[in-house]
Amino acid sequence: MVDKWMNKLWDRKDKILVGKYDIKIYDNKVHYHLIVKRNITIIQGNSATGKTTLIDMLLDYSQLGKNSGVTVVCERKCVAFRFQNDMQLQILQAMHGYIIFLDENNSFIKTHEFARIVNESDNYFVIICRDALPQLPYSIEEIYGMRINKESQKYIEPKKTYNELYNIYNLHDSKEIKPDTVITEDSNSGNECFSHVFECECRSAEGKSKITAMISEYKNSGKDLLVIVDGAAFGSEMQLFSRKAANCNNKCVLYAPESFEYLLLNSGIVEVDENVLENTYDYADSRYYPSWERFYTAYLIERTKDTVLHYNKARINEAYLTEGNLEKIRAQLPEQIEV
Amino acid sequence: MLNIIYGEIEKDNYIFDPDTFFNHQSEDAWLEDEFTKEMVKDVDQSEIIGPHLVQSPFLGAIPPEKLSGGVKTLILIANDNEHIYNASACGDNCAKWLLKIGENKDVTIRLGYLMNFGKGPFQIHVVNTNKIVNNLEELDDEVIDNGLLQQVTK
Repeated sequence: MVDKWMNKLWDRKDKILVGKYDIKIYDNKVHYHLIVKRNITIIQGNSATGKTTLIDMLLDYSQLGKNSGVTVVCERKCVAFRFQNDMQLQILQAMHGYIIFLDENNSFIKTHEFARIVNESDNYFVIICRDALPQLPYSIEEIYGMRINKESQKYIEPKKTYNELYNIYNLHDSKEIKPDTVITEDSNSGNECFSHVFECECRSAEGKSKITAMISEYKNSGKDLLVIVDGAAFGSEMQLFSRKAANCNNKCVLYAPESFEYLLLNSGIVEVDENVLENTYDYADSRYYPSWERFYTAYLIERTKDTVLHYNKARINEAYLTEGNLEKIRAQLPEQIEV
Repeated sequence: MLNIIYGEIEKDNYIFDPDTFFNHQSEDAWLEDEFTKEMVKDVDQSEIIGPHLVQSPFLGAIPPEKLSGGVKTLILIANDNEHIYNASACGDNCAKWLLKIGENKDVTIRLGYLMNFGKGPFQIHVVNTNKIVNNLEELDDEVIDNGLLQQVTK
């Protein structure tokens, strides 16, 4: 049942872009299939996998439409840009409800100005870039590589190359761990709560950009580390984390729920609409919530307002720390993690 | 030796977009070179027929301008000693070729991500810290611990 707050969100007349979109882009040689469901999608990976060809085809389509010979199938308008001047930012600000493809040849994608536009935008952005973009809050789950779908090639049209996206970071096959130390990205309520969930030492890195430095402190220490981050906005740090974890010479495992608030919402402590958690893309309007992490925080605050469980990000409400509620939070952890 | 500047750089001879630069500055002789042909075969799985024609298994007969951004950047780095190229245009599958180019000459590139050069051993000079590293673990630690990739915003 969609509650009052959600109804308010649905009824916003100015809400332009939420949802999950299936995109097909093709000509008579290559075929791309993508699904985007958040405001920021990142494509990386090896050279010669078709990333530039994708942008080139969309550039042609953006200029000439179907006269380009390129077909684009999507409920939303998909466009690509590639130029280097200030006008681009002005154009982006004037656009609403588009899925915009940009590649690393657009030097402005690393600027704070671009980040400000994205964070206030009602467009979705698909950005092809290997460099991390720490000013943008993108999800680990929305970092993709591109590869040829050999099955489609075999059965649909052998002369055509079918490209698809795959998740670069697989978070579902984590190693078993009973941590000696837990490192949390959160410094306030999240860290405080995990200090009660785990028996071992629980340190805060005080921000996502400081996690790798903290892991370095434990190199060759013999201590097994569990690192807990907000997956919804940790994308820019993920490559550094994964390489640092590999070099740690101890076990170093990542646990990346969407956010701490998502964990609480999913735990059953608070009554929530499961549909909101399962299909967040239908609710998290990117203009108000640049990442889902912020959406879940707002949702939790709204759901617990004026109740004993009222949520405060700065300090955990003790009502969440009863043994019963801590057990519900522990039940959310993957079975590979022993507290 | 391969010299790498990590993060953002501002130099007059720095080429941010090697893909486009290649389209306007490449020379026929570069594409007739055996080393170039090997790189194109390995990275793009394509065959250089002549300086103006490449046979791609995916796109058919294409001009060199349609090669991948990664292999275009490798060709520029291998043949042009005047510029520093943005090697973030190259994926991990270009790493071995960068090491090979660095074995034959002193070359400086820019990187904005942790390219995987394989476990090594190899020798790479990290220009930002003026340190020579001998394997991937040393390289990763040097880059990450010194925050060389965390200063990317302008």
